[in-house]
Amino acid sequence: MSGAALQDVKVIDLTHHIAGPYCAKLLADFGADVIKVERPDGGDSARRLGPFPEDIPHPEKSGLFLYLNTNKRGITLNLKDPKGRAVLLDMVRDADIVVENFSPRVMPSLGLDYETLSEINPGLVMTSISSFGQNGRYRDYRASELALYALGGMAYVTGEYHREPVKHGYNQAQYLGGMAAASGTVAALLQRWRNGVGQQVDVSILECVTSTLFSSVLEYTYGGMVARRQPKEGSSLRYPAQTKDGYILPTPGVMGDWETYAEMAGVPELHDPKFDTPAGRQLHSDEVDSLLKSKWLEQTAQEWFHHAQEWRFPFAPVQTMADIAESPQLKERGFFVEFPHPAVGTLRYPGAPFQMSESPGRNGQQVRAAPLLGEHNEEVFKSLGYSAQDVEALTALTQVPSSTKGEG
Amino acid sequence: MPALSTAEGMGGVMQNLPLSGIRIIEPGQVWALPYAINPLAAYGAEVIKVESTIRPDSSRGGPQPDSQVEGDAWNHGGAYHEVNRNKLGLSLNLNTQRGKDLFKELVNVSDVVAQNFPPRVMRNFGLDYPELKKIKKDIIVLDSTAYGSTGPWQNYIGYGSSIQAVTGLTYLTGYEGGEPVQGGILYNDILGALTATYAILLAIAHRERTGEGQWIDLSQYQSGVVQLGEAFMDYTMNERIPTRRGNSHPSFAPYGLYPCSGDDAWVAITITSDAEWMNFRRAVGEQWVDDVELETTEGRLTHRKKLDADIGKWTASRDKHEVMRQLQSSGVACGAVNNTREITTSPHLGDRDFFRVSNHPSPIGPRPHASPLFNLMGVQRPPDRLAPTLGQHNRYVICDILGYNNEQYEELEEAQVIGQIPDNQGVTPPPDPEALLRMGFLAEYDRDYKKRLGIEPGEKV
Repeated sequence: MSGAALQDVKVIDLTHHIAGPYCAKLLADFGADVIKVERPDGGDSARRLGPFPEDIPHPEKSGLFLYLNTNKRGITLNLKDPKGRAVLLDMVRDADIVVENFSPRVMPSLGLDYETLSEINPGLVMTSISSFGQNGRYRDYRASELALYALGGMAYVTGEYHREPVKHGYNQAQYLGGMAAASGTVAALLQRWRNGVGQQVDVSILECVTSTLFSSVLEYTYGGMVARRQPKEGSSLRYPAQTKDGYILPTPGVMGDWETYAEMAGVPELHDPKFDTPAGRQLHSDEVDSLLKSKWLEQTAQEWFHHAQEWRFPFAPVQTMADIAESPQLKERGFFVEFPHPAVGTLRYPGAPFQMSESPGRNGQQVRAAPLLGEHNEEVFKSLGYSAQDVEALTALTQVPSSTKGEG
Repeated sequence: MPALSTAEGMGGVMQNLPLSGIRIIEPGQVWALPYAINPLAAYGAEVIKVESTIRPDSSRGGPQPDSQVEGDAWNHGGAYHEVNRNKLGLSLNLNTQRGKDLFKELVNVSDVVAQNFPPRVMRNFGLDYPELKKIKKDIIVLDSTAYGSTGPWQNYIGYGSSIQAVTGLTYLTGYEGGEPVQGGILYNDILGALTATYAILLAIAHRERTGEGQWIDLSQYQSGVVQLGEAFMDYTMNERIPTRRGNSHPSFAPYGLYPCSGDDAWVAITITSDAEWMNFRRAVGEQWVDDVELETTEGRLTHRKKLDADIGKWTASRDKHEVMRQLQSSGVACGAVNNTREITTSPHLGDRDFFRVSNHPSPIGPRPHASPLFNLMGVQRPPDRLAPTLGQHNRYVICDILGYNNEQYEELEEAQVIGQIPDNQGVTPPPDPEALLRMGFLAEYDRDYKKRLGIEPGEKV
């Protein structure tokens, strides 16, 4: 075992909110040396977003920020000040990767466009995540999680037939953008290791949302069919069903046949030729529904889950965050990580999406908590060769004009 | 027939791509795993998709072009073509000893094996990581499973919809006070795929640095939970169970979808700063937005319900695209709720060349396919090669890569270790679009969709 996958890879993280920080977190969690650069006046906007302990806002206690910035060191720099910009350029000389998720106008307006940075460091990989991408007519439009769900097409097919569409919970679009960007970053790094040449990586969150529609897009491009939110009639097996204590998704999947399903559920009345085909079940959906509805109430969601899985049906309990925190599967796999932070103490966090046998990353016991605002200023500035006096002058640079940072 | 995509055949072009020289074996099925490998193939990896005539990839079935089943329909499915472009096709019966042996020989000259059968399948074939590592010490193996390859649920099965439920996403999706809602049914398949792409790239980077291969144990369950980090943090900090809140945002208002003119037409309007509210106020220019209480986020959150109703009245008589244009030009985050027609014909995505047309032989014809989600701006991505027909590259793989002669190759064909025709040629006939429309399962059915997409026969693409 030779350490983490991205050991010795140096990353400058200029990001804020969710998509950019998540990309840099994925690099940091798997071993990269990530320095997060925040604006001195308040830092990353995620510091002002909840959840907070007892709902009391505090810039060092945002659950969102704490989760998205593990394993990073943090400094503050005013990039609009020539001195701040000069420090950043010093860092770029020696970096492998810059990650940013400003609106595409911002980096050029700061004199930090890829052309400028690559003149200083021709091997630099610069990953740019934006709502709409680095070109195209919507490039400079404003966006939000909900607007991207709307424009990307996921909203239109989600929710109840007769109501307004509904988006997925929380910030899925932003996370998708971060994940796609992490892949693009490593792909560009691999290319750099071969030929020494860096490049800019362009990720559009809108395209990530659109891609999750997958088969619905193909139903149009292969057959002209425009998908929509589905009528609930005749399709109850695709929807969460109430059990004794919560919901179960009673999906029959494609493996098992109907007779086996009826046997598994313990409802002999479903052994009726009129229910044998999907079309038949559709036609008599009221009967199917009422037969099953009372049956599901007899056991708990977890009981149905294990029972159906023994029969090779892909049932799944509709889990809450409490269920997930107690999940025996996640516990046995060592998924959660627990570590101290000076402002919120020791908390349990979600770990990594996958386990690598030889590159465990920092999700074991060596997790570094998210940085306090400017926590590593002195350490980082000194390592760049600045004198104690310079460091003092730099840390005093806190006057910044108002926001250029939008959401997303 | 287009030139075969041997590494030599592609010459310098392949050599300039970030993954050229990497060979990936993909005994993958359906969407999740083939989707993960798709961008790696687009960026230069030589990907050998392994199926068999007994068990071809089930994604080969649909959707069929124009909802018509004809000829070798198992080679026509749109989903199959979407995720398997730029790959080579090998059909290998792994139930036979010779099939297994050939697979091992191929592992010996490959870099990555990526697969998504339940854990016991490759174990039973004797082709799991411990066995493959004996053949090639630095091989990278990715096992993508529903719940992970260890733990009490390791043998449980799950599809995208099941994973959505178990990760907490279903519970957190839905209307305020309503029941949990299942979102896009393939959502977690695609999410698992994006995660697998990253995992493989990390392992390749690790090998470049250290020379070591490794085993990646990817759990789609974990891949979903990590995208709900802040919801978990709320539980961990406050022992509170987060629940559904529709389209609303806990920190901002207005933030929602509002009805527009026309049938089932909606627009997203989201205001996340006081400056943006002033922009909105200017754009609307009516009395109801002038209330001073609404000038702060706090005030807008307090009056959220009334504000939503007023905005809904304002949007109701307007076209969703018009609202978007008007508000965006005033500096307000706003987006029309698009359907799949609007997405595939989107001028913005067109500017970015996101959907690129591939020319398939009849009866498929030209079709647009999505680009990788990371655009490497320094790379000239070559035009896509079509997804392989079943076993299309058997001869290339067995003779050119593994060095078998013609006689041996024919013997393998005769023994049905390899083949081009699936045992089961049946493709479930697609439902009639007109009937689906009548029953309310479709928003619309465009008989002229090819014209709208600019892929009509004879049209220059």
